[in-house]
Amino acid sequence: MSASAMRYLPHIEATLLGELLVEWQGSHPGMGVLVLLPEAEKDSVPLIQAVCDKHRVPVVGAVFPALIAEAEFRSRGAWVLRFDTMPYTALYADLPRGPEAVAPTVESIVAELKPHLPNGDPTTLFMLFDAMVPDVGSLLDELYLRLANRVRYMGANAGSESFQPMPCLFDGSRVVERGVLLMLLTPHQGAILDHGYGVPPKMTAATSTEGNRILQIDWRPAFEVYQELARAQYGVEVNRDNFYEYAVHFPVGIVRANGVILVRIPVSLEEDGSLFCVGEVPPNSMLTLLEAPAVDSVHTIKRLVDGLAELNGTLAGRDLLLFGCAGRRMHLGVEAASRELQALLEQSGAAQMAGALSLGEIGSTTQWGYPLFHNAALVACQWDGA
Amino acid sequence: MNREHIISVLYDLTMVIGGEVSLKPLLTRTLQRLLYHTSFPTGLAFLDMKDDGGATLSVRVDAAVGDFELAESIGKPLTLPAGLVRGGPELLEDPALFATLPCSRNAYRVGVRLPIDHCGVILLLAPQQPHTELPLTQVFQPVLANLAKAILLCRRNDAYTAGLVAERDVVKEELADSMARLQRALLGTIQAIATTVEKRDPYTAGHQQRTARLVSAIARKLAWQEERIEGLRLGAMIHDIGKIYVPAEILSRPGVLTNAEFRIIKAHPQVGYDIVKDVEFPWPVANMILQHHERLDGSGYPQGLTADTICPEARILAVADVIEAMSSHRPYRPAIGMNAGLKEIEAQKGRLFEPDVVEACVRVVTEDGFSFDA
Repeated sequence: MSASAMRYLPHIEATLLGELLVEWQGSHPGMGVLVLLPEAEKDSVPLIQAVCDKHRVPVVGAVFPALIAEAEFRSRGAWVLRFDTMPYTALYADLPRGPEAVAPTVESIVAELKPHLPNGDPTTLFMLFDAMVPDVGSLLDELYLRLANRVRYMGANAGSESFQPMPCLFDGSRVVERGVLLMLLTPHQGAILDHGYGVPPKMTAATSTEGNRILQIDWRPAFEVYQELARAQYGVEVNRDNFYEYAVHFPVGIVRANGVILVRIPVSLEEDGSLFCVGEVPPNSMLTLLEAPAVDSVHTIKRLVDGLAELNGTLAGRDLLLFGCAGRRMHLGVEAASRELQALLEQSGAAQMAGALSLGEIGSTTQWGYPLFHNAALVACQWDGA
Repeated sequence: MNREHIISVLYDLTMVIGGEVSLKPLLTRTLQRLLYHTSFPTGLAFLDMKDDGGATLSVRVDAAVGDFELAESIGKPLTLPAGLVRGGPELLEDPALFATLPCSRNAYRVGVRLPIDHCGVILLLAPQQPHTELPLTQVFQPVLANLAKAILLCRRNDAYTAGLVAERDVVKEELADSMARLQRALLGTIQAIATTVEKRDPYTAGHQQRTARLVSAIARKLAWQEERIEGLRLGAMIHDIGKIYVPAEILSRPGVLTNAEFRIIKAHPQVGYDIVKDVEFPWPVANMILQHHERLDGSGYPQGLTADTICPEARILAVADVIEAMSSHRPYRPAIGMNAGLKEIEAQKGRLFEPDVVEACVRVVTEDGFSFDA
């Protein structure tokens, strides 16, 4: 393994990328790359595919709202992350929809993946979903039923921050949407996820939900309740145009017995006044309405650093991969969110931290916990080319 | 965590338990939800434990989530220490107890035992104690009492469903027997009709059976489904049934037919169609009979149909009919032979006969060695 298996390219140019691939190929002839792009660079995918093809380097990648580099948010450039040896990857487009499609879809995905599971080495199933896939939580339930503790689980949602459909996952020849990119990292110790959102004492019941939609809160149309809260709290009128801007401050939380809530940030208003979330809200679930939640950044970073150290030993001088929720940045504000990134970089002692703003995060708050689909979270792992 | 939070957790679990009607998904979904709420990675459910008060208990794993080795034990009998599975709700921190489970050694150091009201027990397992703000040994008990009742109801429903399935299978078997008898009766009838027709026309005796053999071979070459081939074969066996209307002396008279006689002969597809059109075959037998003298360019009879308007079965039957006829002796001419027949259909490929069918027929004869004499 060389000193670093990640490189941020401030500009996407064929020469620059080609030189990097040649440099890495010298020491890792069987390498492949994972490329993370910000939305503003989405048109560069064909160029990246062509350069990788020219140098015979397998490539997979995804497009996110923005990148994280040097503890700042970047809307240009690209992260190129090296796999020392190209692992098993699989890109699935247009995943079938509906509850009855989940089990057969996962069945066929797992059937293809299982022969590639290594014996003995710790392995992480790294998943990048298109944020337009509506049932990531159910897909994770089915994956865990079939793969259980054979792998550890981490991932994030790619796509456009405007939540408009966009082909955002790619490999060497395709750019797809409504799909998932799977990577089997081995040896790899997994990831740690945290969000630091506290559980408010007051419960507000989402009295009617359906899939990703909250139809009613406290037996009243969901949007009416939202408008009232925003008016009382901020003195602002929430409408369809500014909804996401304000809704990030009023996420809903699904309470779990371990005290760690599952955050759901509503991202749009449906025609009928229901709230659409990225991530399922279980049928008939009782929710808390997290009114302008206080995010405990300090403890979030500490838990991430401690968890990563427990998994990997010291992080000093090593590289990290981080996905941070776009809604979290909006809630905290760019300045506070950047400080959070800086704190993670400093406290971990990591040499570099590659990452992206995501639209949902996959992982567990404990090493071997049940894998869940979160919003508003940070999920991090060590990246050493495995 | 306050009372409202606890109620919301219990509400969630209750909704999950109440949403299942079959035992296996009930246990799996309940375990999934308990793991979701507690961050324990692994859950097991044992039902119907045999407890004679000894140091060990015989159990069967009824559901396992989160550990692939334990999942392989589902349905298998295990003998486990009483300290692991007997007793009330309890936080267990004895790794030696967990080492008795059929999974990797030292995988678990912490567990929570949750008895299901006289029904069995649930174990939640973890390598280390996950963070929790609730007394897990107490908070789930009201829900597990509900689970015990749900298990009972699901078992009744499963038994009822199994009874219905068994009943359905018996009915299906009887129906299949009945269908087979009908099929045999139909075949017998068709064979009798074919024999009747050919009795009146000794020169074409066996023509329909031989044609039926060739159409089956061609259709197999074209990768048709066996069920459809069977319909084609039966149609071929009676395709000349309309000749029953043609006076025997015309059928068996040597020499060239007069125009009037030929008009009578040409009516046999329509007559055959009229005879069988009201019989409810599961295949287009009537159309096969009606169209077997039609040709792609519209030069055939009785309707002068062209190309796609002729049913696929009739397109195969047309080719096989010609090949068989040219291979056999007729009152008005000696046998011309199989090779001459193949040359004729190849010469007319695309004009009179379907190209795919002609090619398949040629391959059946030249590659597979098909012969009417075999």
